[in-house]
Amino acid sequence: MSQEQELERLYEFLYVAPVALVEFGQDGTIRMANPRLAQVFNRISMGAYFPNFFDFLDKYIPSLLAVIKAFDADNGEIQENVRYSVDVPAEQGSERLWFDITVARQEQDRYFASLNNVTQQMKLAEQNHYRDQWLSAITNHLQHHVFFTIDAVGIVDSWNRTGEVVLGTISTHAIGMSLLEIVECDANELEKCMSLAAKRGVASFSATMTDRHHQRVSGQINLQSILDMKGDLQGYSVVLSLS
Amino acid sequence: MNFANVSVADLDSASTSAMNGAAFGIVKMSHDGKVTDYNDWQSKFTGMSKSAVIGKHFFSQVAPCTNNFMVSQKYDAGATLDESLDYTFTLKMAPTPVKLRLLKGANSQYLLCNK
Repeated sequence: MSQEQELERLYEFLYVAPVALVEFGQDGTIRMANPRLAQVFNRISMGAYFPNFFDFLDKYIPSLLAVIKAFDADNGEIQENVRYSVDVPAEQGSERLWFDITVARQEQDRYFASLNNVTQQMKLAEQNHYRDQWLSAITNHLQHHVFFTIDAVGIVDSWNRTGEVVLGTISTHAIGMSLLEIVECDANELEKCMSLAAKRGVASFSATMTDRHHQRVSGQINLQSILDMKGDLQGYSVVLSLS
Repeated sequence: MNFANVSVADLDSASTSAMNGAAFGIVKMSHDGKVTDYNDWQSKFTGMSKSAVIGKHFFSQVAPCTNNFMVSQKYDAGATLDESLDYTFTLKMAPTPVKLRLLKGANSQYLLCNK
């Protein structure tokens, strides 16, 4: 391969690299950047051009600018994958972009940074956050039901306030217990029910248990299988409904 | 050939040498975004030879920074297109403000680039 071809391959690598890369000087002057960085600039404002990285940071991520300026060693990693958000115009309205940003000082007057767009991951994390709040709102107000999860062999692996309110068992105590220690039922019947839930998705049976007043109460136990993204069984969600 | 007023018909009928004589970048593409011609100006300022980009998908394999609603999605919006915009390219990794002209006709589509 000729030197020219090697250079071309290097350009191609930098042009299509799926992460924004930038080299800048002590005064923020951009010396090199790849198209992903240009895309960040263009998303902020069509045709936006920042010959100085510090001007960009000052306007959109001032806290990062402060971190860079406070770094007084001649070289070294300033930060690794710290998350920042930038609001940019979208086709309709605006959109919040999230970046994991790493900055290193190579020499006194030479800095490198990478900006990795993690907006999609953040959207998923946000959805999970909303779902957790929604679930928490439900569990905080239930009086006669207990929600928790067990692993594939019936050991409690998550617990919440419903179990504390109805059964009087705190989380640190409940996690690691067998379902058979919480409900009184035949071990074979429980195993059968778990197999059925694994096969059909859901299964239920009746059992008795002891509530927080140490009274024996009867109820319905509903199991629903929990599958991972590949479809393999990871455990069960359990709903105990007191009669 | 003039950046501001060259037409799709002019470009469709232009020879390779005429395109290479232009004082601005010309990327000729099929309607599915595959590069079918790449003039000398564009090659000189990007550092990518014509042979390295011909047949590649321009918006995902050559210039992914244009794969967005401001550029690539404009070509999908209709049968014809003639739109100019300010943009930033990183020509040989140097951030460079450029003017883009997006053109689309019945046979081909073009991205013109001027510093």
